[in-house]
Amino acid sequence: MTMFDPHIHMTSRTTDDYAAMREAGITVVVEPAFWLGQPRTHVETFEDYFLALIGWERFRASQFGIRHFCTMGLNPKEANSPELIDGVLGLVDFYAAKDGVVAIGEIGYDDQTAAEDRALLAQIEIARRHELPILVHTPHRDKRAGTLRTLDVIREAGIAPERVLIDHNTEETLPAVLDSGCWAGHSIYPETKMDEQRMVALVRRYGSERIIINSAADWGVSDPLKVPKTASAMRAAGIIESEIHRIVWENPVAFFAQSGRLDIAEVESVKAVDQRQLWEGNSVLRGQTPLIDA
Amino acid sequence: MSSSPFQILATEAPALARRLAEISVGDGPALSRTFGAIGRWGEHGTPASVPADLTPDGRMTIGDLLRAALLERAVPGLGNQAPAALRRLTQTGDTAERVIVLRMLHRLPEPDRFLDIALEACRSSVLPVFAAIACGNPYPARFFPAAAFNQLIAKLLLSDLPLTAVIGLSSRRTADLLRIAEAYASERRAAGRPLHPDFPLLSNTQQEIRP
Repeated sequence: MTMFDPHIHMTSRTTDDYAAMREAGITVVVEPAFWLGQPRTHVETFEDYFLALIGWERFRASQFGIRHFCTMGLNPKEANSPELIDGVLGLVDFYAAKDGVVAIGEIGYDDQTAAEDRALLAQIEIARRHELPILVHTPHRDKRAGTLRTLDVIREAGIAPERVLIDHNTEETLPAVLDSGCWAGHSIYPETKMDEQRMVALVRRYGSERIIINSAADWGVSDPLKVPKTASAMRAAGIIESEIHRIVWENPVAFFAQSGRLDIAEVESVKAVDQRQLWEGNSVLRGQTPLIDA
Repeated sequence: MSSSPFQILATEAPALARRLAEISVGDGPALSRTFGAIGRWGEHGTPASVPADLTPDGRMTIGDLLRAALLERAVPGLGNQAPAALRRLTQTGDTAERVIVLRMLHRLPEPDRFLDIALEACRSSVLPVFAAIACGNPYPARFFPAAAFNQLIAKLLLSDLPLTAVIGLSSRRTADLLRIAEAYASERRAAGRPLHPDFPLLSNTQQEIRP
C-alpha cells in the first residue's frame, strides 16, 4: 500500500529516514513550515528556510523516490516575536506562490495570545489570496479551548471548512472538528499527542471520513514511520483495507489537491529514483553507488 | 530581598569581586561580550551560600554568581537601553547565560520592563530556560498577566518540574486556571496517561479561588 505522510519535518531528518520511509511504502510527504526548536532572531533566516523547503529538501526526497510538497507559514510560537511578524508574513505571501506549496501552515495557536490571533487572521487572508487550503496547528496546552477558538476564527473568517485541516487532534477535540466540516489530522507520537492504539479506537468510533494521520516527526524524539505503523495497527485490529487506504492515502491526497498544485495522477505514479542527479552541484551521496530505477 | 550577588561574591571570592568592580561595562554590546566571558574568570567551585531565587537547585557556580553580579552592577547604568540589552543577552547567550538573566530579572530596577523577555522564556523548549523563569522565581507571579501565568502552569503540568516550585501559585489560582487544569486532567484521562503528581494543588477546591 502506498502511503502519504502529510505532516513531517524532513529538514530535521536523515537520509536513512527517507530510505526507511520509502521502503515502508511512503511515496508522498508534506513538510509544513514550522519552528526550529528555538526562536529565530532575523526575518532573513526564515527566507533561507523557506528556500530550503522548496529547493534542497524537495530534491533530497526525490533521491529516495518520495514526492515532497510543503506548506508556508509563520508558526504560532514565533508569531509572538513582534520584530519578525510583518517581515515573515511578507515572505509567506511571496513564497505561497511557489510550485510545490500546497497549503498555508502550520498556523494557529500556541499560547493563544493576541499576537497569534493577528498572525492567524493574516495568514488566512494569504491563503485566500493564493487559493490555498490551510493547515492548522492546535495548541499543546489548553488544547480543547484552543481548538474551539480556532474553529470560531475559521468560521468567522468565512473560509470553507473543507479547505481546512485541523491537526494534532485528540479524543477531546475530534468531535468538534468533525462537526465543523474541517478535516481532522492526528499526529502519532511515541509518547505525547496520539498513539497507534488510541487512533485505532478513534477510527472505530468515528470512521474514516475526513480523518488523516501523520508522524509530525521533527528534530525531537519522534518516528517517521508512524503512518505505516498505524496502518499496521489498524489492519491488526480488523479495520478494512479500504478504510485504511482512505486514511493514509485518499484523504490527504484529496485535501492537498485542493491547492491545484498536487496532481493526483502524478502522485499515484511511481517516482523513479536517479541518484546520479545533483542539486546545484550537490549530491546526497557520499561515495555510494547511485541507485537508478530502470 | 536576600543578599545581593555582588555582596556574596565579595564574601566568597573577594579577588573576583574587586576585579569586577574595576571594569566598566559601558553599553549593551559591551555587556554582551563581558557577560559571555566573565563566567570563566573564576574557579569552577560552588558558592557556599546563595539565595534560593538565584539557584533553587543549589547548582550555582562561581561563574554564574559573577554573571549575576555583573548584571546587578551594570544594568542600572544602561537606563532605558536595559530591556534591549537583556533581550540581546537572552537571544545570543548559551543556556547558562540565559538562566542567570532570567533569575535576575526580578532583582533589577523596574523589573516590569523585562516582561517580554520572561514571556519568551516560557515559550522555550529548553527545559533549564523554562525552569529558570517558572520555578523558584518570583517574577511570573508578580508581573505576568493572567493568561501568561496560566500558560506557564499549563506548560509545567506537561513537564517533570514540580508545581510546588512555582512561587505565588496560591495567589494566582483563578477560575480560568482551574478550568485549564481540569481540561488538562480530562485530556490526560482520555489518553490513558497519568496526571502530574502535583496536580492536586490545582484541583483542591477548598482553597480560595480568585475570580
